[in-house]
Amino acid sequence: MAKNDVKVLGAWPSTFVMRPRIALNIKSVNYEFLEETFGSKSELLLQSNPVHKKIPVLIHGDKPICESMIIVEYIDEVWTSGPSILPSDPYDRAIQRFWAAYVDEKWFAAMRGLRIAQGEERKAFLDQVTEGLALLEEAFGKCSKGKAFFGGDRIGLLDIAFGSLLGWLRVTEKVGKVKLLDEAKTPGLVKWAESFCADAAVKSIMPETEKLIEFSKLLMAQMKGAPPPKN
Amino acid sequence: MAEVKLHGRWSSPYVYRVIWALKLKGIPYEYIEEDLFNKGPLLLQYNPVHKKVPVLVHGGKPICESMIIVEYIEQTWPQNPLLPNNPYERAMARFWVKFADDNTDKDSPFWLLFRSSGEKQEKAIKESLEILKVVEEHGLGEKKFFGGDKIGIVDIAFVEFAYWLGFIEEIVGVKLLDAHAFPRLHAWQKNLKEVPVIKENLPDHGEMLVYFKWRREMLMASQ
Repeated sequence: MAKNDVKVLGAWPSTFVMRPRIALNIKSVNYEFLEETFGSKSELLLQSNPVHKKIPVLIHGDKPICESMIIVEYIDEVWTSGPSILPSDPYDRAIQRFWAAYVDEKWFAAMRGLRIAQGEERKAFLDQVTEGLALLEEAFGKCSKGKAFFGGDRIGLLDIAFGSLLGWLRVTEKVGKVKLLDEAKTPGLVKWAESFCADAAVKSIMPETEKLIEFSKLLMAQMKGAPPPKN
Repeated sequence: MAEVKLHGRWSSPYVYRVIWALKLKGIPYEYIEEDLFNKGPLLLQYNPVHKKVPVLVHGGKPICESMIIVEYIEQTWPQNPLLPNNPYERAMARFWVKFADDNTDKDSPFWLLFRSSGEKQEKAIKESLEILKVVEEHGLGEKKFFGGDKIGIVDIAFVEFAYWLGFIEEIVGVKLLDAHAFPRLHAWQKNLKEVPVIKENLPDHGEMLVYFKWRREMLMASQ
Protein backbone atom coordinates (compact mmCIF):
# COMPACT_ATOMS: atom_id res chain seq x y z
CA MET A 1 0.00 0.00 0.00
CA ALA A 2 1.41 3.41 -0.98
CA LYS A 3 2.55 5.40 2.02
CA ASN A 4 0.52 8.48 1.18
CA ASP A 5 -2.67 6.46 0.94
CA VAL A 6 -2.75 6.37 4.75
CA LYS A 7 -2.21 9.53 6.78
CA VAL A 8 -2.48 10.25 10.48
CA LEU A 9 -3.15 13.84 11.52
CA GLY A 10 -1.81 14.36 14.99
CA ALA A 11 0.88 15.50 17.39
CA TRP A 12 3.68 13.52 19.04
CA PRO A 13 2.77 14.26 22.69
CA SER A 14 -0.86 13.21 22.34
CA THR A 15 -2.08 10.06 24.07
CA PHE A 16 -4.98 9.75 21.66
CA VAL A 17 -2.81 10.16 18.56
CA MET A 18 -0.55 7.30 19.73
CA ARG A 19 -3.42 4.87 19.51
CA PRO A 20 -3.97 4.69 15.74
CA ARG A 21 -0.18 4.79 15.24
CA ILE A 22 0.27 1.72 17.44
CA ALA A 23 -2.55 -0.03 15.58
CA LEU A 24 -1.00 0.74 12.18
CA ASN A 25 2.37 -0.48 13.43
CA ILE A 26 0.80 -3.74 14.61
CA LYS A 27 -0.59 -4.23 11.11
CA SER A 28 2.74 -3.17 9.48
CA VAL A 29 0.95 -0.45 7.53
CA ASN A 30 3.06 2.43 6.25
CA TYR A 31 1.56 5.84 6.88
CA GLU A 32 2.41 9.49 6.64
CA PHE A 33 2.39 11.31 9.98
CA LEU A 34 1.19 14.88 9.50
CA GLU A 35 1.94 16.88 12.63
CA GLU A 36 -0.25 19.76 13.64
CA THR A 37 1.48 22.93 14.83
CA PHE A 38 0.94 23.43 18.55
CA GLY A 39 -1.61 26.18 19.17
CA SER A 40 -3.26 26.13 15.75
CA LYS A 41 -5.45 23.85 13.63
CA SER A 42 -4.68 23.16 9.98
CA GLU A 43 -7.22 23.50 7.16
CA LEU A 44 -6.95 19.77 6.60
CA LEU A 45 -7.87 19.07 10.22
CA LEU A 46 -10.83 21.45 10.17
CA GLN A 47 -12.09 19.85 6.94
CA SER A 48 -11.51 16.27 8.09
CA ASN A 49 -13.07 16.65 11.51
CA PRO A 50 -15.60 19.47 11.23
CA VAL A 51 -17.64 18.28 14.22
CA HIS A 52 -14.87 18.15 16.86
CA LYS A 53 -11.86 19.76 15.12
CA LYS A 54 -9.59 17.39 17.07
CA ILE A 55 -6.71 15.03 16.49
CA PRO A 56 -6.20 12.19 15.74
CA VAL A 57 -7.76 11.83 12.33
CA LEU A 58 -6.95 8.88 10.08
CA ILE A 59 -7.22 9.69 6.40
CA HIS A 60 -7.48 6.51 4.32
CA GLY A 61 -7.57 7.29 0.62
CA ASP A 62 -9.70 10.40 0.84
CA LYS A 63 -11.89 9.25 3.75
CA PRO A 64 -11.40 10.75 7.21
CA ILE A 65 -12.06 8.66 10.31
CA CYS A 66 -12.19 10.35 13.73
CA GLU A 67 -12.08 9.37 17.43
CA SER A 68 -9.01 7.39 18.49
CA MET A 69 -10.60 4.10 19.59
CA ILE A 70 -12.99 4.12 16.62
CA ILE A 71 -9.96 4.55 14.34
CA VAL A 72 -8.30 1.56 16.05
CA GLU A 73 -11.38 -0.61 15.42
CA TYR A 74 -11.48 0.58 11.80
CA ILE A 75 -7.79 -0.33 11.32
CA ASP A 76 -8.49 -3.78 12.76
CA GLU A 77 -11.41 -4.33 10.39
CA VAL A 78 -9.64 -3.11 7.25
CA TRP A 79 -6.21 -4.74 7.58
CA THR A 80 -7.28 -8.29 8.31
CA SER A 81 -4.03 -9.95 7.21
CA GLY A 82 -2.18 -8.51 10.21
CA PRO A 83 -2.53 -9.72 13.84
CA SER A 84 -5.99 -9.08 15.34
CA ILE A 85 -6.40 -6.18 17.74
CA LEU A 86 -9.89 -6.98 18.99
CA PRO A 87 -10.60 -10.42 20.47
CA SER A 88 -12.85 -12.60 18.34
CA ASP A 89 -15.06 -13.73 21.24
CA PRO A 90 -17.98 -11.29 21.74
CA TYR A 91 -17.79 -11.44 25.54
CA ASP A 92 -14.03 -10.79 25.65
CA ARG A 93 -14.59 -7.96 23.19
CA ALA A 94 -17.25 -6.43 25.46
CA ILE A 95 -14.91 -6.65 28.48
CA GLN A 96 -12.06 -4.93 26.61
CA ARG A 97 -14.39 -2.20 25.36
CA PHE A 98 -15.79 -1.77 28.89
CA TRP A 99 -12.36 -1.13 30.41
CA ALA A 100 -11.23 1.04 27.47
CA ALA A 101 -14.32 3.21 28.09
CA TYR A 102 -13.57 3.26 31.83
CA VAL A 103 -10.00 4.43 31.15
CA ASP A 104 -11.20 7.17 28.82
CA GLU A 105 -14.19 8.37 30.77
CA LYS A 106 -13.36 7.95 34.44
CA TRP A 107 -9.65 7.32 34.89
CA PHE A 108 -8.35 9.83 32.35
CA ALA A 109 -10.40 12.61 33.96
CA ALA A 110 -8.96 11.72 37.38
CA MET A 111 -5.41 11.74 35.94
CA ARG A 112 -5.94 15.13 34.38
CA GLY A 113 -7.34 16.44 37.65
CA LEU A 114 -4.34 15.07 39.52
CA ARG A 115 -1.91 16.91 37.22
CA ILE A 116 -3.60 20.28 37.67
CA ALA A 117 -5.22 20.33 41.13
CA GLN A 118 -3.78 21.51 44.44
CA GLY A 119 -4.28 20.66 48.12
CA GLU A 120 -7.42 18.80 49.20
CA GLU A 121 -8.73 18.56 45.64
CA ARG A 122 -5.44 16.95 44.57
CA LYS A 123 -5.72 14.31 47.29
CA ALA A 124 -9.23 13.44 46.09
CA PHE A 125 -8.00 12.96 42.52
CA LEU A 126 -5.05 10.88 43.74
CA ASP A 127 -7.47 8.58 45.58
CA GLN A 128 -9.56 8.19 42.41
CA VAL A 129 -6.48 7.43 40.31
CA THR A 130 -5.22 4.85 42.82
CA GLU A 131 -8.64 3.17 43.10
CA GLY A 132 -8.82 3.05 39.32
CA LEU A 133 -5.41 1.40 39.11
CA ALA A 134 -6.50 -1.23 41.64
CA LEU A 135 -9.52 -2.02 39.44
CA LEU A 136 -7.32 -2.16 36.34
CA GLU A 137 -4.85 -4.46 38.13
CA GLU A 138 -7.72 -6.84 38.81
CA ALA A 139 -8.95 -6.55 35.24
CA PHE A 140 -5.44 -7.27 34.00
CA GLY A 141 -5.36 -10.50 35.98
CA LYS A 142 -8.65 -11.64 34.45
CA CYS A 143 -8.01 -10.50 30.86
CA SER A 144 -4.38 -11.54 30.46
CA LYS A 145 -4.88 -15.05 31.93
CA GLY A 146 -1.19 -15.16 32.84
CA LYS A 147 0.08 -13.72 29.57
CA ALA A 148 1.94 -10.45 29.00
CA PHE A 149 -0.90 -8.24 27.77
CA PHE A 150 -4.59 -7.52 28.37
CA GLY A 151 -4.96 -8.95 24.87
CA GLY A 152 -3.04 -12.13 25.76
CA ASP A 153 0.17 -12.91 23.88
CA ARG A 154 -0.08 -9.75 21.81
CA ILE A 155 -1.16 -6.15 22.31
CA GLY A 156 -4.92 -5.73 21.97
CA LEU A 157 -7.56 -3.02 22.17
CA LEU A 158 -7.33 -2.41 25.91
CA ASP A 159 -3.52 -2.44 25.90
CA ILE A 160 -3.63 0.34 23.30
CA ALA A 161 -6.29 2.33 25.17
CA PHE A 162 -4.54 2.19 28.54
CA GLY A 163 -0.91 1.89 27.44
CA SER A 164 -1.08 5.09 25.43
CA LEU A 165 -1.49 6.93 28.76
CA LEU A 166 1.77 5.59 30.22
CA GLY A 167 3.86 8.52 28.95
CA TRP A 168 1.77 11.06 30.84
CA LEU A 169 1.45 8.73 33.82
CA ARG A 170 5.25 8.80 34.16
CA VAL A 171 5.20 12.62 33.89
CA THR A 172 2.70 12.78 36.75
CA GLU A 173 4.84 10.43 38.84
CA LYS A 174 7.99 12.45 38.27
CA VAL A 175 6.60 15.99 38.49
CA GLY A 176 4.06 15.18 41.20
CA LYS A 177 6.60 13.09 43.13
CA VAL A 178 4.10 10.28 43.54
CA LYS A 179 4.31 6.58 42.76
CA LEU A 180 1.26 5.42 40.82
CA LEU A 181 2.36 2.09 39.37
CA ASP A 182 3.76 0.28 42.37
CA GLU A 183 5.41 -3.19 42.58
CA ALA A 184 3.63 -3.79 45.88
CA LYS A 185 0.12 -2.68 44.91
CA THR A 186 -0.03 -3.20 41.14
CA PRO A 187 2.65 -5.77 40.29
CA GLY A 188 0.82 -7.03 37.21
CA LEU A 189 0.49 -3.55 35.74
CA VAL A 190 4.14 -2.72 36.47
CA LYS A 191 5.29 -5.70 34.45
CA TRP A 192 2.67 -5.03 31.78
CA ALA A 193 3.84 -1.42 31.39
CA GLU A 194 7.41 -2.61 30.76
CA SER A 195 6.24 -5.14 28.16
CA PHE A 196 4.00 -2.59 26.48
CA CYS A 197 6.64 0.12 26.19
CA ALA A 198 9.21 -2.40 24.91
CA ASP A 199 6.91 -3.75 22.21
CA ALA A 200 8.02 -3.11 18.62
CA ALA A 201 4.73 -1.41 17.75
CA VAL A 202 5.11 1.06 20.64
CA LYS A 203 8.82 1.65 21.26
CA SER A 204 9.51 4.14 18.47
CA ILE A 205 6.49 6.33 19.18
CA MET A 206 6.20 6.37 22.99
CA PRO A 207 7.39 9.88 23.90
CA GLU A 208 10.28 10.22 26.35
CA THR A 209 9.24 11.41 29.80
CA GLU A 210 11.68 14.35 29.77
CA LYS A 211 10.35 15.61 26.43
CA LEU A 212 6.78 15.35 27.73
CA ILE A 213 7.72 17.28 30.87
CA GLU A 214 9.15 20.08 28.69
CA PHE A 215 5.99 20.03 26.60
CA SER A 216 3.75 20.14 29.67
CA LYS A 217 5.44 23.40 30.69
CA LEU A 218 4.41 24.83 27.31
CA LEU A 219 0.87 23.58 27.91
CA MET A 220 0.69 25.12 31.40
CA ALA A 221 1.90 28.45 30.02
CA GLN A 222 -0.77 28.35 27.35
CA MET A 223 -3.44 27.48 29.93
CA LYS A 224 -2.42 30.39 32.16
CA GLY A 225 -2.57 32.77 29.23
CA ALA A 226 -6.00 31.48 28.25
CA PRO A 227 -9.22 33.04 29.61
CA PRO A 228 -10.47 31.53 32.90
CA PRO A 229 -12.52 28.32 32.49
CA LYS A 230 -16.33 28.73 32.61
CA ASN A 231 -18.23 26.88 35.33
CA MET B 1 -29.65 -20.85 23.25
CA ALA B 2 -28.23 -19.72 26.58
CA GLU B 3 -30.52 -17.64 28.79
CA VAL B 4 -30.69 -13.90 28.24
CA LYS B 5 -31.64 -11.59 31.11
CA LEU B 6 -31.84 -7.82 31.20
CA HIS B 7 -31.58 -5.87 34.44
CA GLY B 8 -33.18 -2.48 33.95
CA ARG B 9 -35.34 0.37 35.17
CA TRP B 10 -38.66 1.20 33.52
CA SER B 11 -37.81 4.87 32.89
CA SER B 12 -34.20 4.56 31.70
CA PRO B 13 -33.36 5.50 28.11
CA TYR B 14 -30.17 3.43 28.33
CA VAL B 15 -32.21 0.32 29.14
CA TYR B 16 -34.41 0.99 26.13
CA ARG B 17 -31.40 1.01 23.83
CA VAL B 18 -30.87 -2.61 24.81
CA ILE B 19 -34.59 -3.51 24.65
CA TRP B 20 -34.82 -2.12 21.11
CA ALA B 21 -31.73 -4.06 19.98
CA LEU B 22 -33.10 -7.31 21.45
CA LYS B 23 -36.59 -6.77 20.00
CA LEU B 24 -35.31 -5.76 16.55
CA LYS B 25 -33.41 -9.05 16.40
CA GLY B 26 -36.22 -11.10 17.89
CA ILE B 27 -34.21 -12.31 20.89
CA PRO B 28 -36.28 -13.58 23.81
CA TYR B 29 -35.16 -12.37 27.24
CA GLU B 30 -36.24 -12.12 30.85
CA TYR B 31 -36.58 -8.60 32.22
CA ILE B 32 -35.70 -7.82 35.83
CA GLU B 33 -36.73 -4.42 37.22
CA GLU B 34 -34.14 -2.87 39.54
CA ASP B 35 -34.94 -0.34 42.23
CA LEU B 36 -32.13 2.19 42.13
CA PHE B 37 -32.72 3.28 45.71
CA ASN B 38 -32.46 -0.32 46.81
CA LYS B 39 -30.10 -2.06 44.40
CA GLY B 40 -30.32 -5.82 44.33
CA PRO B 41 -27.23 -7.85 45.28
CA LEU B 42 -27.11 -9.39 41.80
CA LEU B 43 -26.80 -5.96 40.16
CA LEU B 44 -23.96 -5.00 42.49
CA GLN B 45 -22.26 -8.30 41.71
CA TYR B 46 -22.70 -7.91 37.93
CA ASN B 47 -21.72 -4.25 37.74
CA PRO B 48 -19.42 -3.54 40.68
CA VAL B 49 -17.65 -0.68 38.90
CA HIS B 50 -20.65 1.50 38.00
CA LYS B 51 -23.54 -0.19 39.89
CA LYS B 52 -25.90 0.83 37.09
CA VAL B 53 -28.46 -0.51 34.69
CA PRO B 54 -28.69 -1.80 32.03
CA VAL B 55 -26.83 -5.06 32.56
CA LEU B 56 -27.30 -7.88 30.07
CA VAL B 57 -26.62 -11.34 31.42
CA HIS B 58 -26.06 -13.99 28.75
CA GLY B 59 -25.49 -17.54 29.94
CA GLY B 60 -24.60 -16.15 33.36
CA LYS B 61 -22.03 -13.64 32.05
CA PRO B 62 -22.75 -9.94 32.64
CA ILE B 63 -22.16 -7.21 30.05
CA CYS B 64 -22.41 -3.53 31.10
CA GLU B 65 -22.72 -0.13 29.39
CA SER B 66 -25.66 0.20 27.00
CA MET B 67 -23.88 0.69 23.67
CA ILE B 68 -21.27 -1.95 24.52
CA ILE B 69 -24.20 -4.29 25.18
CA VAL B 70 -25.74 -3.34 21.81
CA GLU B 71 -22.43 -4.11 20.02
CA TYR B 72 -22.32 -7.44 21.88
CA ILE B 73 -25.87 -8.23 20.75
CA GLU B 74 -24.97 -7.24 17.17
CA GLN B 75 -21.98 -9.57 17.10
CA THR B 76 -23.68 -12.49 18.86
CA TRP B 77 -26.95 -12.39 16.89
CA PRO B 78 -26.14 -11.17 13.37
CA GLN B 79 -29.72 -11.28 12.00
CA ASN B 80 -31.27 -7.87 11.15
CA PRO B 81 -27.90 -6.10 11.34
CA LEU B 82 -27.74 -2.79 13.15
CA LEU B 83 -24.32 -1.84 11.77
CA PRO B 84 -23.45 -1.30 8.09
CA ASN B 85 -21.31 -3.84 6.25
CA ASN B 86 -18.28 -1.84 5.23
CA PRO B 87 -15.61 -0.65 7.68
CA TYR B 88 -15.79 3.04 6.76
CA GLU B 89 -19.54 3.27 7.27
CA ARG B 90 -19.19 1.28 10.48
CA ALA B 91 -16.64 3.83 11.71
CA MET B 92 -19.04 6.66 10.79
CA ALA B 93 -21.86 4.93 12.69
CA ARG B 94 -19.64 4.43 15.74
CA PHE B 95 -18.62 8.09 15.57
CA TRP B 96 -22.26 9.13 15.94
CA VAL B 97 -22.91 6.53 18.63
CA LYS B 98 -20.07 8.10 20.63
CA PHE B 99 -21.42 11.57 19.89
CA ALA B 100 -24.83 10.52 21.23
CA ASP B 101 -23.22 9.03 24.35
CA ASP B 102 -21.09 12.10 24.99
CA ASN B 103 -23.80 14.69 24.32
CA THR B 104 -27.03 13.29 25.73
CA ASP B 105 -25.87 11.84 29.05
CA LYS B 106 -26.89 13.12 32.50
CA ASP B 107 -24.22 15.85 32.43
CA SER B 108 -25.29 17.08 29.00
CA PRO B 109 -26.96 20.47 28.45
CA PHE B 110 -30.32 18.69 27.90
CA TRP B 111 -30.38 17.33 31.43
CA LEU B 112 -28.68 20.43 32.85
CA LEU B 113 -31.56 22.55 31.61
CA PHE B 114 -33.95 20.15 33.32
CA ARG B 115 -32.06 20.48 36.60
CA SER B 116 -31.64 24.26 36.58
CA SER B 117 -33.35 27.62 36.18
CA GLY B 118 -32.48 31.22 35.32
CA GLU B 119 -29.15 32.01 33.70
CA LYS B 120 -27.80 28.47 34.02
CA GLN B 121 -30.84 27.15 32.22
CA GLU B 122 -30.56 29.77 29.48
CA LYS B 123 -26.99 28.70 28.82
CA ALA B 124 -27.99 25.03 28.79
CA ILE B 125 -30.79 25.73 26.31
CA LYS B 126 -28.36 27.49 23.99
CA GLU B 127 -25.88 24.59 24.18
CA SER B 128 -28.65 22.02 23.60
CA LEU B 129 -29.71 23.81 20.43
CA GLU B 130 -26.10 23.81 19.20
CA ILE B 131 -25.90 20.04 19.68
CA LEU B 132 -29.18 19.50 17.83
CA LYS B 133 -27.85 21.63 14.96
CA VAL B 134 -24.71 19.48 14.62
CA VAL B 135 -26.75 16.29 14.61
CA GLU B 136 -29.29 17.65 12.11
CA GLU B 137 -26.66 18.87 9.68
CA HIS B 138 -23.77 16.45 10.02
CA GLY B 139 -25.35 13.34 11.48
CA LEU B 140 -28.73 12.81 9.92
CA GLY B 141 -28.43 14.78 6.69
CA GLU B 142 -31.01 13.74 4.11
CA LYS B 143 -31.61 10.24 5.46
CA LYS B 144 -34.90 9.02 6.92
CA PHE B 145 -33.13 7.24 9.75
CA PHE B 146 -29.50 7.50 10.85
CA GLY B 147 -29.21 3.93 9.58
CA GLY B 148 -30.60 4.91 6.15
CA ASP B 149 -33.93 3.34 5.14
CA LYS B 150 -33.99 1.17 8.23
CA ILE B 151 -33.21 1.80 11.88
CA GLY B 152 -29.60 1.18 12.83
CA ILE B 153 -27.29 1.47 15.79
CA VAL B 154 -27.17 5.27 15.64
CA ASP B 155 -30.96 5.58 15.82
CA ILE B 156 -30.79 3.40 18.92
CA ALA B 157 -28.01 5.55 20.36
CA PHE B 158 -30.10 8.71 19.99
CA VAL B 159 -32.80 7.19 22.21
CA GLU B 160 -32.96 10.37 24.32
CA PHE B 161 -33.98 12.50 21.35
CA ALA B 162 -36.55 9.92 20.30
CA TYR B 163 -38.72 10.14 23.40
CA TRP B 164 -37.11 11.42 26.60
CA LEU B 165 -36.38 14.90 25.28
CA GLY B 166 -40.10 15.41 24.77
CA PHE B 167 -40.68 15.05 28.51
CA ILE B 168 -37.90 17.50 29.36
CA GLU B 169 -39.50 19.94 26.94
CA GLU B 170 -43.00 19.47 28.29
CA ILE B 171 -42.18 19.71 32.00
CA VAL B 172 -39.75 22.63 31.66
CA GLY B 173 -41.96 24.38 29.11
CA VAL B 174 -39.41 24.91 26.35
CA LYS B 175 -39.52 23.53 22.79
CA LEU B 176 -36.09 22.48 21.59
CA LEU B 177 -36.67 19.98 18.79
CA ASP B 178 -38.84 22.36 16.83
CA ALA B 179 -40.16 21.38 13.37
CA HIS B 180 -39.04 24.70 11.83
CA ALA B 181 -35.54 24.82 13.30
CA PHE B 182 -34.82 21.09 12.89
CA PRO B 183 -37.12 19.73 10.17
CA ARG B 184 -35.13 16.55 9.54
CA LEU B 185 -34.66 15.57 13.18
CA HIS B 186 -38.28 16.38 13.87
CA ALA B 187 -39.36 14.10 11.01
CA TRP B 188 -36.94 11.42 12.26
CA GLN B 189 -38.49 11.55 15.73
CA LYS B 190 -41.96 11.05 14.23
CA ASN B 191 -40.85 8.26 11.85
CA LEU B 192 -38.99 6.40 14.58
CA LYS B 193 -41.99 6.29 16.88
CA GLU B 194 -44.09 4.82 14.06
CA VAL B 195 -41.82 1.78 13.63
CA PRO B 196 -43.82 -1.04 15.27
CA VAL B 197 -40.95 -2.41 17.42
CA ILE B 198 -40.26 1.08 18.78
CA LYS B 199 -43.91 2.07 19.19
CA GLU B 200 -44.62 -1.07 21.19
CA ASN B 201 -41.53 -0.63 23.37
CA LEU B 202 -41.65 2.75 25.02
CA PRO B 203 -42.32 3.52 28.69
CA ASP B 204 -45.90 4.58 29.41
CA HIS B 205 -46.47 8.23 28.49
CA GLY B 206 -48.65 9.05 31.50
CA GLU B 207 -46.27 7.44 33.97
CA MET B 208 -43.32 9.25 32.43
CA LEU B 209 -45.08 12.62 32.78
CA VAL B 210 -45.75 11.96 36.46
CA TYR B 211 -42.18 10.81 37.02
CA PHE B 212 -40.60 13.78 35.23
CA LYS B 213 -42.88 16.25 37.01
CA TRP B 214 -41.93 14.75 40.37
CA ARG B 215 -38.22 14.85 39.56
CA ARG B 216 -38.37 18.47 38.44
CA GLU B 217 -40.21 19.46 41.64
CA MET B 218 -37.62 17.67 43.78
CA LEU B 219 -34.75 19.36 41.93
CA MET B 220 -36.27 22.83 42.20
CA ALA B 221 -37.12 22.34 45.89
CA SER B 222 -33.53 21.41 46.72
CA GLN B 223 -32.15 24.62 45.18
